Amino acid sequence: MFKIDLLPTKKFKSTLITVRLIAPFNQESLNYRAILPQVLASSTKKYRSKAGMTRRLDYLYGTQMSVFTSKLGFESIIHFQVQFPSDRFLPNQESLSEEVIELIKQIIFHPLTKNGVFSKNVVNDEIRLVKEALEAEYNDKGDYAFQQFKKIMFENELYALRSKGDYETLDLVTPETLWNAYLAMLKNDSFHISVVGDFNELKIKKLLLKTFDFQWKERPHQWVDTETKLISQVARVPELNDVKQAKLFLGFRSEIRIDSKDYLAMSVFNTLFGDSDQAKLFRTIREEQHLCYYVSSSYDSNKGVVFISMGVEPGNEDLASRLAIETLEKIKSGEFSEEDLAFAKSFQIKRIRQRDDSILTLSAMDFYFRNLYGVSYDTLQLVQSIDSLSKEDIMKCANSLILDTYYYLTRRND
Amino acid sequence: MKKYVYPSVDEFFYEHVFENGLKIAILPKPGFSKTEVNLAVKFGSLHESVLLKNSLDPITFPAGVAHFIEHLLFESDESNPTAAFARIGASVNAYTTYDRTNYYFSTTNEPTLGIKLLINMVLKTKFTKKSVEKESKIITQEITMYEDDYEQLIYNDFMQKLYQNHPIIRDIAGTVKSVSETTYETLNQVYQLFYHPSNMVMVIVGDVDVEALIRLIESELKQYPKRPSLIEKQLLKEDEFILNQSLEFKHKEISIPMLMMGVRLKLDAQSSMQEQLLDDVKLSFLLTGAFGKGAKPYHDLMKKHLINDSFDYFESFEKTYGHIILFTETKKVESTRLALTQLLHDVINENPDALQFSLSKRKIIGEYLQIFNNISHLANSFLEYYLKDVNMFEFYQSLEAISYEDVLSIRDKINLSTLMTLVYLPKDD
Repeated sequence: MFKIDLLPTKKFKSTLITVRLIAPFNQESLNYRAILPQVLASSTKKYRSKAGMTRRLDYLYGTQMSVFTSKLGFESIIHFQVQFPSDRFLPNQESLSEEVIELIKQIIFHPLTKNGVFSKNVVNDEIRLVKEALEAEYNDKGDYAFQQFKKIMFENELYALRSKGDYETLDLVTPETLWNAYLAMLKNDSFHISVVGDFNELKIKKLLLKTFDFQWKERPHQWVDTETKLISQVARVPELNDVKQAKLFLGFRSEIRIDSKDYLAMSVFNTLFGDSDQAKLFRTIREEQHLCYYVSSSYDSNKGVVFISMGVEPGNEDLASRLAIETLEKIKSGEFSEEDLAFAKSFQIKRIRQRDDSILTLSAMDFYFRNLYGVSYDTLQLVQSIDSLSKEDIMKCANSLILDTYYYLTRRND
Repeated sequence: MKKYVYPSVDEFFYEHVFENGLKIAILPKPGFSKTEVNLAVKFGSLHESVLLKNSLDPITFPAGVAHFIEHLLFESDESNPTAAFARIGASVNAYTTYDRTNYYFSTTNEPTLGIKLLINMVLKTKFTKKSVEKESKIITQEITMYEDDYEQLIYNDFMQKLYQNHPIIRDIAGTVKSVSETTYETLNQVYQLFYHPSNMVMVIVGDVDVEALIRLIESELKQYPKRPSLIEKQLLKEDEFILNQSLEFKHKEISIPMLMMGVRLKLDAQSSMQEQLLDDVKLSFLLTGAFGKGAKPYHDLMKKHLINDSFDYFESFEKTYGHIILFTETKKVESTRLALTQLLHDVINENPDALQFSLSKRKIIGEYLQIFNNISHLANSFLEYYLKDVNMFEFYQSLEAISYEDVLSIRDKINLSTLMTLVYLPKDD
């Protein structure tokens, strides 16, 4: 059995089909699941090379395909996402939906094989690409610093592992072991397919049921990563490098996650704290103290963590981080105005409303709501809930934050 | 007010020119929640050298003044403009490019109050010495942020090798030094020179009441009458070709070597904007045949492990500058450099793949339709053409006529003797 979610709308000039294959996220399978979609989408029995695949997509009027693996809570999701133009705008009103669905079927069920497994060249090519991409993160010091920070804060936690792949162990993936991982994916993964855009519901549903008819397994998913640790002392970790600007990260833990009733309040708190141009961090550290160009906070609701990120002149790290902590303390004690709260609410409401304007976010939200919250996606309901939040709700969220790690990458004095 | 209708994509837009010279286009998008309003000034980093009327000496302003003003307009004496937008549920932002400074806001509420705020923010601002001092510090942090990203760094470095005098070699944000040398007086002078209504266009995209908006803007603009331009001309002319091919290596704090190569294009001063843009598309079709993901040469490079997913190529074909740039991270610098050089020769000497050409033409139809799926994407694409007085809809529809022969003949524009190569190597190599 598998899940089909259809969301017809005439708003867009294209249709988006997303296939999600879901399995538990763990260290043993992460490299396989990182490489697998890349290998599958690179060639099939019918389109035998990456060039042939690209040409097929170009022929289908520039149909866009993106394949990737992500992590959500304790789940690993392999995505095959294909967006193609709607029939009514094409030169001869050609219908692409059947051909696109056929292509996805080829990718998932009919990979190119050699001696009964994936071709060694294809597998090694994809491993090389992932490894070189991971290596090159060092070339952008902002990216590099963020990855270092997460390694330190989440040492020994599943959260530190990346769905992109693990550089140290990627070479252990062989055509044979990857083939076994492929068979395990077909046997054990949950299969969800979602279609958003301009299409005929009955026709598409019939076609999908026929095409992807297979013994898929559905199981309850763990969308929340509850792994945490007791903090006895804040880790303060400086790292020296040849940088022009110091990159600072502060990591906080919170017990408020998407399954908590305070989840919406937490998202508004984060906006008020550091995620808008009226946010307290931005007003204090950039606009009043002129210490940085960027400063922001982000909230990962599937884990229960808040990160502050900023770039300052080397030498100003401790001053900037002290100001960030003071800013948080003020929110904790209620030292913010009704207008601050109103700004944060209205930013959050605007974000929610404009999600419907993008076919990609609309599809993602529809998936999250049906699966993570178990309710259908209802903008109006969300807006009402945000409107009714009080100052105390925000203070409660601020008080749930516990500082865990303070990391910065800064200039070597030589 | 003029209406333009395009039944094949089920879209339309309105155009109006106000008395003070400001031109506006409104693209209604019924059913969308967000409205985006853009007010673009035809002033970017390329325009920082001018000859004024009644003057013989050209002036060159410090690099980054266009971008500096973008920052300053968010610093008003009396009020905080971003808070004023936030109060009506809108968020405002801006960016500076080579040829424009664009101020824009988006909202899911009614946009009229925001439009008033935007017009007054851009046309009425009085900045102070204090705000100049403050933004100077913030911009310095912005520049150092870019300096820690080596992909950004190699590009800026490379442009200064590909050109000698053309202002394209200036960083849009300027340098730490040029920013510190930028004075309050200079910024005021620059603001007066470039920020007048006839040097601006406005583009609105969203589910809006067109006639009411035009009336509102008309009345709001009354306080900003037409001003004659004080600029005699912009000092923007084609750079001479640097005809000795060069290769340079530098050691940087990186993990994988970076390789950037490029050639200049022969320009045609006589061509119209429309023709210029068409040539750009023809060139992109030509390059797709060699460097695109469907092309055989691209896959040969991949198979030999010479390039990886970081590989990118892009062309820029404008009135006063034009080039093709190739970039990749690679562990095999020398072989990759030789292979890409050979490939550039092949692009000129061999016939492009005819199948790839027909695929490119199908692909661009899909790309055109995609533009309409996103309010911001549509506003930006439309604006890009509009600033050059080209109609985006008509432009895309004219692409149907591009022939294989057009792509063949565009090869003449590539000047291979200008080939430049810059390599960044890890420090311990």
